[in-house]
Amino acid sequence: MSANVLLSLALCVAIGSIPRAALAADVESPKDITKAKAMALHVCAVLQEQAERRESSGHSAGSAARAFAVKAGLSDTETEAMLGVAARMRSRVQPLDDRARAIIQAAKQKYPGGLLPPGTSPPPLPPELVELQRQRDSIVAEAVRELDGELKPAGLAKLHTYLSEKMLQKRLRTLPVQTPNEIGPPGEPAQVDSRRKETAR
Amino acid sequence: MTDSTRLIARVTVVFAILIATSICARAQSVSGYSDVYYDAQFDWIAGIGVTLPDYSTLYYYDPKVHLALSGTDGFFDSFYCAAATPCNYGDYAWAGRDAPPTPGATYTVTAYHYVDVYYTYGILDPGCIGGCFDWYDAYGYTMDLCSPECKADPNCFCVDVWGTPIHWHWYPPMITVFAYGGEKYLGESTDNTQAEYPVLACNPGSVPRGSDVTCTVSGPASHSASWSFSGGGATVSGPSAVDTWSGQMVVSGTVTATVTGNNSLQAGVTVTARTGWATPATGPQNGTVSRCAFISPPPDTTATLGCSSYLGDVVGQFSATTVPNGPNSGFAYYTSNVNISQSFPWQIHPDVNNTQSDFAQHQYVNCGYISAANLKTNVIWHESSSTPRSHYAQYLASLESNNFGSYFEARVATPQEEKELFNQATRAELYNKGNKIWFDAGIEPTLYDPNYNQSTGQFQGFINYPPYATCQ
Repeated sequence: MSANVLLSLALCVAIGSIPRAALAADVESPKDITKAKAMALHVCAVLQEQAERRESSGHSAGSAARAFAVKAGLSDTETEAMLGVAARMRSRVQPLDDRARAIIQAAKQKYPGGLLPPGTSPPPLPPELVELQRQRDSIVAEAVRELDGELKPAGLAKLHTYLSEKMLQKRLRTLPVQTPNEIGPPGEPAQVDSRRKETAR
Repeated sequence: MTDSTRLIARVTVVFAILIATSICARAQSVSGYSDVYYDAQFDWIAGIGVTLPDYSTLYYYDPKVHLALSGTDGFFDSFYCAAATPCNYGDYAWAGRDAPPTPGATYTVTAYHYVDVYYTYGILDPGCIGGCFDWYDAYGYTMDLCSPECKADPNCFCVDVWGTPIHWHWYPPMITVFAYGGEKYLGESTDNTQAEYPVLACNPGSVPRGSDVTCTVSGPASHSASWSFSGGGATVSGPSAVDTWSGQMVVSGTVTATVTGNNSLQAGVTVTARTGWATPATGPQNGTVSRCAFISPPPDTTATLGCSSYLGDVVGQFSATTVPNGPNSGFAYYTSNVNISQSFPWQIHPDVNNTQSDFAQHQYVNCGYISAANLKTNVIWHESSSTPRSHYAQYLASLESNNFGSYFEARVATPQEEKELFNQATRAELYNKGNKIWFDAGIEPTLYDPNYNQSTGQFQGFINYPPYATCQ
């Protein structure tokens, strides 16, 4: 891990250690709403993909693709607008997703089943993957801005209210995950050996 | 999840949002989403859960989601993501479960978001003859959960295993157990919804003929319904892709709205008769009945002592009006009542009416004959009384069962009927009813003849016909 990355992580941890009261007030800040809208577009894109999967297998797609927008209380016109933005976002991030998938699969295929030789660390995150993620985030941010323009104030107000409720009610969550390097040094057999040999009674 | 873990989860959500939106070097980010909603296309409650990782998370982990869907109606189903029931769609994990909806029940979906550690180490288990590998993750999650006390106790059987897959080996009489941290639980997301059926309602559900009714599909989400009406011997196809159908109702029947997913909803509409349409009876009029011929004096028991007649006719023209739209579109009915001319004239023999006539003077009460006054009363009663055993009473009864206005009010033509033929048929039936009333009124009332008091049935004496008998 480079010194820059360590410094960045340290800053992140510092932000994460802000007192709880201050953090709670930030939940519904404009930044969080923007983040929530990005997540909402992701969700809509996934719902669209699932609907297409059903249709391609000869089944009716059902209402899944519209479920999020409808539950947000958007009108038919607003729902179509949101689905349109999500669909355009999907088509734009698709090449990035394909490339990222290829990188990830190539890395994983070097170690079939994920089995690492003793003493070997998990492979470091490729810079290209980081760059792809940056590009993807940029496209998603543009989609969020497009959504703001398409929905108009009335539609946006409904979406914001719904997203705030969703986040507070834990229907839409950002979940913490750590990389191996954030966790610490890779586990060593001697350190984590939990094998037990007990006499059966 | 305990209160303390919920608190931790809540704080970590905030933390994660800050990390994701900060300008710091990007850490892994995973979105968890769950939703439960009514799907009108399938007429079921759908519960879904999605775990959405970013690229860097996918690089080290595989996303996973387990799901539980429960309802206050007792429904429960769950999905466990495993090799046999995969949930990984490459870039994200997806799980779904469906429940048949019970109106009013509340359904809750909880998605449990996980990522599987991809990279692991494997070491040859020295206790396994033939070569066995024990696995542990390469990220440092795996930990020893067996307490030191248990380890120190040769009789302690430590099975405090967590994570999946659970690895253990059995070498009688030895068992090897170790904890494997191959799966990381990230948290849960949850959602609930109350089952809302699309509901079809027609208001009012019962209306006088010709009044407006509005049928509306309401309920969750928006609806595109295809409409039809069945009743009155016909079926009417309505509009599509609208949630309301309204118009005048002239026949009872069933309105059907087929909403998305071929879910047919039905509502009955009852049409009642408009009040004030029954043709009222005309009163008996003492006058001249043209068909009556009296012979003076009345010659014998076959002589006519009184006479009455019913006269009815349809006045003017009428034409049915076609309903322009709504469930009864195309049906036709009459919007104003038919004009019926009616009269019930009655007349009694002049010799009976005039109690000073020669015929009347020969009715000797003292010799057992009916008095002239009683005879006159009985004949008038026989023709014009509204109580039973009179021609007029028979007219009243027949009019009740052959009422022109009631029939006319209820006349409705189906969309397929030719309207002029319908009007002609209506007129013909009105004539039939008039004829029936005329016929019924003319039937001789039974039981009592003019010799009897028509009210009490008391015999009041014979009639003295010419040549008159004398009375001493």
